[in-house]
Amino acid sequence: MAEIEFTIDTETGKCETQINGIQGSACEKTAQQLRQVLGAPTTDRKTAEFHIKPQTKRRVGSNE
Amino acid sequence: MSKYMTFESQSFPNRELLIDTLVECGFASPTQGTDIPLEGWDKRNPRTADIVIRRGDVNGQSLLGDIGFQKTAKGYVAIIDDLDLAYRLGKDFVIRLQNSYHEAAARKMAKTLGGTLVKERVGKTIKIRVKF
Repeated sequence: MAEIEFTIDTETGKCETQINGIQGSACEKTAQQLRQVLGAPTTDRKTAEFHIKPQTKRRVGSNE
Repeated sequence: MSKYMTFESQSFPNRELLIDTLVECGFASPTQGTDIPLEGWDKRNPRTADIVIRRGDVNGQSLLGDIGFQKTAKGYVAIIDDLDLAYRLGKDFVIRLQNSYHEAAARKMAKTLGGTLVKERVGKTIKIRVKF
């Protein structure tokens, strides 16, 4: 399941967000929706998981 | 984790969310428009704003001037009399407003994505998880 985690520091007003569980263009779409409500981020970085390509498995050798 | 972003600006990018936040914080009827003159400010330094909370509408505070929010390239920026901040609203007023705005942003994202929201407070930190 995908998740956005907001961490709000109530003393400074700073808000950190992490988008978890989705990769690639789907993640970028969610990030864009976040920018629409929170504005331009001070920090904006993709993590390793962002670049993981969904893998498809192919069954081989079942000729029964 | 696939993307990490931080937001530190003391501006409010989304008008609709800012209005929702102000109403939630007890400012029931913000006036909306363009370059609305603020009342109670020094006539030598007249100010205008696009969202205005009239000083008379702020219960129990006897503010010297209206509270305004002026649209800028980065979003809406608060215009508040220094004395009102120091002696009536509290110097952390904009930060408290920001915190409420960020919570409202999380609720909006949950609604947009059709997700569920879980909020947890740990000391001075609020954690909100939106699952979708």
